[in-house]
Amino acid sequence: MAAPLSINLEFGGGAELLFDGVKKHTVTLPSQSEPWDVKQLLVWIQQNLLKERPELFVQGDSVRPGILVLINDADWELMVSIYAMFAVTCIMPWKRFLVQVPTNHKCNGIYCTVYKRA
Amino acid sequence: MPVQCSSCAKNRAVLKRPKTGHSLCKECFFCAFEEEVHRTIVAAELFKPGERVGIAASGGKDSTVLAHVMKVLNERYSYGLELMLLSVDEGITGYRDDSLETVKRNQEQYELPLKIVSYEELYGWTMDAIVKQVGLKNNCTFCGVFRRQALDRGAIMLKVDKICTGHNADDVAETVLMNILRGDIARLRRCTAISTSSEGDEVVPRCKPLKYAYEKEIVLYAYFKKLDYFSTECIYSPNAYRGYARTFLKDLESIRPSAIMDVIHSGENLSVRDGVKMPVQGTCSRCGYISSQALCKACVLLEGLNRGLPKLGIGKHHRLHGKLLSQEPLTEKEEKKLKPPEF
Repeated sequence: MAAPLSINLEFGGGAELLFDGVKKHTVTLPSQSEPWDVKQLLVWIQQNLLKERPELFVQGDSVRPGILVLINDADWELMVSIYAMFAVTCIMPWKRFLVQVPTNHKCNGIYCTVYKRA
Repeated sequence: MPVQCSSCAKNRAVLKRPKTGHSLCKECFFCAFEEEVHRTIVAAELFKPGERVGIAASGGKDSTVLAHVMKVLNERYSYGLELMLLSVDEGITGYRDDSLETVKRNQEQYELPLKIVSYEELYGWTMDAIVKQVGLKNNCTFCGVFRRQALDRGAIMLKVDKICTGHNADDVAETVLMNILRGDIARLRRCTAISTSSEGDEVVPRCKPLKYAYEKEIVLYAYFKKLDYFSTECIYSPNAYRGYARTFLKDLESIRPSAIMDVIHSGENLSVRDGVKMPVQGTCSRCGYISSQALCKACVLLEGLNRGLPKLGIGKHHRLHGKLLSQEPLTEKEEKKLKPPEF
C-alpha cells in the first residue's frame, strides 16, 4: 500500500493556460495499492486539474507529442518509456516534473513541472 | 536511477538529444547546442566581420534563444558583429504589447539596442483594426505578409546588413511539408535555404542560424538557462494549415526523432526538373518591394483594407491589378465578391 503522495506540479511556457493560468500546484495523490507512476499521474491531472482543451495536453495514454516532460529536472525521454517510470518512481520520488506542450499555433513551447515537496 | 552524461561521464544527464540520441548533462548540452549553432554559422558563412546584424525579436522562445546565443558566440568567437534587436508591433492588444515588454527586458539583459516598428506607423492599420474589418478567418495572411515587409523596413531604418530570424528545424520541416501539400514549387525550392540571396535594394538578406536546432532543445536551453521569454498564443485564430503540418510532424517525431532532420534533408536535396514554370521575380510597381505580380501582396492587401474590400488580397485576383494601378473603379460584380463577410 503506497501512502498518499504529496507533490508540486509546475506548468509553464503557456501550459498554465490550460490550468486556469495557475503555474504552481501543490497536490496530494491519494494512497493506492500500487506506487504511482507518470501514466497514472497524467490521468489524475486530466481528471482533477486540467480545465480546458485536453487535446492540447494528452493524446492516448501519454502526453501529446511535442510535450516535454521533465522529472527531477531531467528529460523523461532519458527514462525510455512511460512504463519504465514505474520502477523509477518506486526508487526515487519526484522532485520536478516538467511538461512542454506545443500549442495548436506554430509557436510557444508550453511546459509543466512537478516536484516532490521538500 | 539517474542517467549519466554520455559526454563527460561525470554529471547527471538532463536530456536526451533528439538529433543524436546522446544523453547530456546541462553543461555538455549548453556546449553542444552553442557549438552546433556556431558550426552552422561558420559552414554557411552567414556573417562577415564588421557587419551590423538585426536579430528579429518577438519575445518568444526562439528569438530569445537566438539573441542569447548570438551574443555569446559573437563574444566567444570574435565574429566582430554589431548586434541589435528588431521587433515588429502588429498592434494586438493583450498579446504583442505583453511580448514586447519581454523584448524590452531582453534589450537590457543582453545590452543590445532595440528598434520597434509598428504596423500602425507603416500601414496605418493595427491587427486589432484589421481583424475588426476582416474577421478571424484570413487575418493571419495580413499579419504574415505585413510582418515580412515590416522587418525589411525596420532593417533599412536600422541600416543593418543582415537580419537573422529564430526559425528552428521544426519550423523549416513544417514549411517543407506545407509547400509540398500546397504544390508551391517556387517556395519549396527556396524554403530550406539558410539565407536568402541578396537581390534588390529593398530587401535585406535574411538568415536562420537556428535552422538545424530542434524546438525541444531550444525550449530546454531556454528553460535550463532561465531565459526570460514570453509564451502565450496569439489571441487571433491560429494558422490552421500549419497547425496540421505541425501535429503531423510531432507525431512522426515521437516515433522517429530524426524525422525533422530527414524532412529538411529531403527539402534541401529536391531538384526541380527543367521546364517547370516558375514565377518571375519582379518588383511592385507601387512600393518597389519584390513581387512576382504587378502589385506586391502587401500593397494589394492594404488597398483592399482601404477600399473596404478586404478579400482583394485573399485568393487570386491578379487580373484586377491593372485596374487597381490605374485607379479604375471595379464593377459591382467584382466588388460584391470582395466585400467583408457579414457578421
